[in-house]
Amino acid sequence: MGSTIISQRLHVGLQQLTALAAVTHSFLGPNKNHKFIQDESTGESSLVCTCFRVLEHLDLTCSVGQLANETIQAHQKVFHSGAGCLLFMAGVWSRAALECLHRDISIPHIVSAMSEGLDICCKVCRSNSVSIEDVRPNASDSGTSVLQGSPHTVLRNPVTGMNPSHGALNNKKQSRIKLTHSRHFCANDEADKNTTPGLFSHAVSSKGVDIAHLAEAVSHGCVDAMSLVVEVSKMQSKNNGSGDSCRTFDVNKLVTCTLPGLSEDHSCVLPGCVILLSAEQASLVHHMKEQKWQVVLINGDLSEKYRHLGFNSKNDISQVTDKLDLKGLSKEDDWEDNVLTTLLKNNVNLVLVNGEASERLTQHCMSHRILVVERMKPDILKDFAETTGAVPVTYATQLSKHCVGTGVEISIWRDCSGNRRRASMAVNIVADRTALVTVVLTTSVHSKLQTLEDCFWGCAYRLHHTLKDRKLLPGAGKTELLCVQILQKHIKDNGEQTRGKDGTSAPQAKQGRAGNPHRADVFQLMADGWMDYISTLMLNSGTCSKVDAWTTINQQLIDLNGGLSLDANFSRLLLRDDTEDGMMSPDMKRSAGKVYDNMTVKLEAWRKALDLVFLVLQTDTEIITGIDPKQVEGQSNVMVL
Amino acid sequence: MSRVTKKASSVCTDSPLSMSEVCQKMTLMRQILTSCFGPNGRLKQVHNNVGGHVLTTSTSTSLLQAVSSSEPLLKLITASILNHLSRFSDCGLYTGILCFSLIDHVQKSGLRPSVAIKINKQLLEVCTSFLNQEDCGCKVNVDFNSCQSLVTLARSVISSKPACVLTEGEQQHISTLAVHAFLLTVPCGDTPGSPDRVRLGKTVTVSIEGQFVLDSAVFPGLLVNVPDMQLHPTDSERTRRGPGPFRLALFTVSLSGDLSEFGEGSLEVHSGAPDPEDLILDELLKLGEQAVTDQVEVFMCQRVIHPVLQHYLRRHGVLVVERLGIALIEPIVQMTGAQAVALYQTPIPPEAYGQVKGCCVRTVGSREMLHLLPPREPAPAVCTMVLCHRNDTMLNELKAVCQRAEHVLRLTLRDPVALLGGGCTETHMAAYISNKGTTEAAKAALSLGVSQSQYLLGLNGFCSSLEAVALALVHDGETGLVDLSYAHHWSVPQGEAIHSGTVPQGEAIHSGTVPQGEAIHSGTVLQGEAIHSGTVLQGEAIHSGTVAQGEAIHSGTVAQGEAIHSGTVAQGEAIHSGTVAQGEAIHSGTVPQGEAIHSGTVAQGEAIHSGTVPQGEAVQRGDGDEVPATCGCGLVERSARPGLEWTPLNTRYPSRSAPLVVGKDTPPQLRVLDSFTAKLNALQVAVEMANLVLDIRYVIQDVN
Repeated sequence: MGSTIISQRLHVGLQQLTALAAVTHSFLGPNKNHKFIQDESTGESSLVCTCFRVLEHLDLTCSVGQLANETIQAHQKVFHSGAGCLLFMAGVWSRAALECLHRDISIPHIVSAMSEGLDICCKVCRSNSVSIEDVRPNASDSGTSVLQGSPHTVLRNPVTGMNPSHGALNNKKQSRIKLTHSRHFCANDEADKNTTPGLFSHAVSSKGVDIAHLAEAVSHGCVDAMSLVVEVSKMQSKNNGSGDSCRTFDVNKLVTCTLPGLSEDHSCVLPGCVILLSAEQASLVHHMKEQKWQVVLINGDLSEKYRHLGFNSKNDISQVTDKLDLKGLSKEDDWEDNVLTTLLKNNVNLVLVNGEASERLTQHCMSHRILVVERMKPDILKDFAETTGAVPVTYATQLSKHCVGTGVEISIWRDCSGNRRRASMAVNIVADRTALVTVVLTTSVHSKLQTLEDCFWGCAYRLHHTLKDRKLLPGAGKTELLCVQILQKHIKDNGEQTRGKDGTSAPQAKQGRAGNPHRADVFQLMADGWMDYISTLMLNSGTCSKVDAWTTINQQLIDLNGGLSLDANFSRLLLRDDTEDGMMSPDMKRSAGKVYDNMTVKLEAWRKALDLVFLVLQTDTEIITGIDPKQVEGQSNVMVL
Repeated sequence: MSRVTKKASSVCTDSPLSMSEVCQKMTLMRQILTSCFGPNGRLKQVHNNVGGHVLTTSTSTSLLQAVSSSEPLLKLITASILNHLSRFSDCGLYTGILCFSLIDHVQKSGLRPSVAIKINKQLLEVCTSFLNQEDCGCKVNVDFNSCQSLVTLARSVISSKPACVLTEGEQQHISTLAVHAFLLTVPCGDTPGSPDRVRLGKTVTVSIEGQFVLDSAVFPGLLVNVPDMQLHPTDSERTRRGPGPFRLALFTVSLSGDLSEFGEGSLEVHSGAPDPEDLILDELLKLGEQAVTDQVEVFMCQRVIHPVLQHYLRRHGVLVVERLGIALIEPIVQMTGAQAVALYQTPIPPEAYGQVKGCCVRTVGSREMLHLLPPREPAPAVCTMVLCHRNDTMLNELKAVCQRAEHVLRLTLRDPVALLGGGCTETHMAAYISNKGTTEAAKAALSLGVSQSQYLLGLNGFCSSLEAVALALVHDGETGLVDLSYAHHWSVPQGEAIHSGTVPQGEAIHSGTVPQGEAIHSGTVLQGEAIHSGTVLQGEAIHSGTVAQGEAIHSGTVAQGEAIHSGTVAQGEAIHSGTVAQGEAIHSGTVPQGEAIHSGTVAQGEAIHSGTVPQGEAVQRGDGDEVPATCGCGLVERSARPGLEWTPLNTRYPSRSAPLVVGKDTPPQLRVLDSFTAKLNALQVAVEMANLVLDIRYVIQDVN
């Protein structure tokens, strides 16, 4: 078999990347449009609204698609957020790179100018980041955070669930209602104040940071999910001994449990873990209430046949016997007796199994009031090992006294029967001193579960990164606008220096020009990429068309006159209060300043987007191996090696 | 029943190099390698036809391993490049480009293969002895008293692969790490047991995707992946315990307790007899008991350890690590002095135990790893290099590049010298042998039994091939120049095209379009006329011959109506070539229609012509702006050496004296250095492979 070479002089790769990125444009910003992905061969379809889920579901046959997917998944794995930004920027910058090529700018020039541009912008962004201590509620509405209430109270339909007293006012201005759902305009309007009285946390504003407030700043429109995150933080702080305030947040001590069938306002936060049990098992739990129990943890399956990973079972062992087996006991019976005796001897009440548990043994155990729970997540087992002192074992026969953990409480949380599922009781298992918190996500629309879960984890990790970085970037496109401004300033300076060369040329200027003559062109195209980002945000927010957005941004950039401060002008820019005759209330203007983005995630997403563009840009040939030369005969763009 | 098919007879190809299909494939391969070369090289995406993993690379090792050709000659060349790489890791693309270029030049020159082979061999000897000379102008000593040249050497390797996508700061960081890792693997003092031999340590690479490049680090000792360590609180306790040394036992045999080592076949067990699994477990527990009584504190196994044994050991405070993988065994043996035990049925011999100074848990990126510290100082040098990068593609390239850098650094221990990089070695060497060859042409031709003109033609091809390697560094429409004093390589970026320099009065170069079939004649020299050089417009080509004082050149070899000529003309001599039999040429070869000569593309019916340059004057003299501040390697600085003159690469510039050696009293910061050992070998492999391929008369393929 030979190899086939496809020369990519036309830079199809960059075009493919742009096209791929365009798929996810509608996911940008807080108003996400869901997408249906349908598999024609199987007829399966799935509902997605995040960039990495789209790529996961697409059949990416082109090599660029695979490369993009690889990058996105790697980013997602580490940061759990920012994948959409990554792909968007990869798309717009690959278009920029393509335009550079059309203008006959050589590849090393494009690469060096673009990475220089990004370096400049990252540096400025870092220096313009906001410390989380400075992210404070505004004086007038301190304590009115929508996120501090219980999730039930904020789960309103953004359009219909308005406070009646304000309904009349708001109905007149439909566009405003739409705006409340937007990240840029998510206002803490008076409505919240009135509908959730007494539910505001008594956040400590004098010192330290207030997680609830930070959470709101990075909620990005996912108000419901973020309020759950705040609840988690509260619960963890309480377990931590920090009292009622939100002082800590540990994303590693957090698991989700999805329950279809219940409506969305049943979503809640519980300590420990939540599992689903059959009614039969649950009846046992009724007897186990309000007492501390002993627990053992099993890695692997709880069955006689199970052997640990890496054990090659020999199938052809046969038993020969010279006398009749009168007891009629099988090997499995022996094993079961053995296990049960061990469990009883050690006063075990609860067996948590990572894999599957033998049904017969489970039944037997139940008659001895031992609850066996299978399919526990490894993370949960790990937490139980840490908090109860139980030592996980692979085989139940291995168990001894020191493997048993103590101090576990079990209670029935909710009866979920009625949806004809075998496991129908949701049971809450909590170990003493555990920091583990479970978020129960419920929805009556089954296909929304994945989306809800993704959204929740997105929020959780945004908060996590906020606390980890201790810095935030101004959100709602302000950071991008800053980048545009910086690049334009550099273009201008560059131009001046070049012009000044006739007269008094600074040596530095000369060097810069000699280093890269196309710097200004590339910077402009790069800045256009960020402009595209802001305008897409504005488009998705429903404020204006893309063309209007560009016009507005450009006008504002001119008005700003090159000043590099992140002042109120930026908010004004995105709020456009100068255009729509006072549509914005003062509240909303203020709130636009309260949207923030994670610094590390964003800068890293930009960097990765550029990496992707560079890899594709610098590729000139696609080589397909293992192909029969006869297959490709007659294809003009293909050569055979 | 077996099916009988008639055996097909073998296919024999006569003189494969003359077949256009073979030539086409060789050109394609050459283009692939050339386009990959250097820091501005182009990447290749390799995947299979069913949409497997996409490999994006410009590294010869990855590329040549992934890409296969159906052409036996290409397979031969690929195999020899890979063989070179397995020994030296570096200069794979170099070997390939030079080899293909040599073959190409011989074919174009029309020299008989046997003649060309003889000449190539002789020139290779000249090159080798030149590079081995003490005062060789393209060699610098590696100074082990400072890290500077080592870091430069490492950075040259690391920066040569654009698929790593590193910023300058990241490049510097990784280069420093590579040198650090290298220094850690050089043992201090003698290796115990063999005082006259020094055994180098090992660097184990751990790659972590999705983290910042600047998080990459080097640790002395070993980092071992222990995925479920957190599940065992006893382990973390152990790692916190005070300083060692700890006794360590290492197993390569699987301790999973299964019966797999008994091989195939069924087993019959008497029902009264104990279960064979239990028996094995008893055996394993006995082993555990011994380990505990022998005060083993770290128990490691290449494969799986039975959970019950693990449990037992942990109960007794032993740190247990399973599933190490084969790759870690040798470094562990080397570091701890343990012997890997391949049996569990017998007690562990006491001499098999090794030692570690301590263990601790280290969080590297997103992973938690167990860090085993080397037992004593000076340590048998084993270290771990943790490489982080933003995505898998770039990480793989980075890993390959770091391993290459390590190898290159190690080669400096054998020969503490390095070659100038950035194409300067090639241009300098080409200038040297061109000069030496020309002056000693008569002698050399006589000893080889070839005619002098044949020798000059062969010499020309050889020099051009060397320059072609330097030229391969130049992509994106840049122009490769060589200066006439030191013969270093300079590249002029695109857009800064060279117009012309001020030409000394009375000299001019003139290029004309010559109608098909017409002979070339030298142009009239107009005073103050501009020189064309550098960027060659399509359909035009430049050729500069050295013509002494207004003498005309006649060139008469007309293959397919085209005339090309080249050659160095000694002063006062006129060249003319008569009608030459097809396929042979004295000065220049018969060039197929439309093919490129030297740097330019010659359209059909157009001929090249060069003017008269009296007394070896500069062909091109830059007035300053377009030529960069330093040459490719950074040794020659324009500002420090006024009066430098340049000519485009691979055009025949006037014969001149041997290139000057840059004084290294106050060497400026060298930018790029190449491995001496690897390049010397690559040169030999390339020339020998080219000779071998040229020598092939028949290819016989078994098609069954």
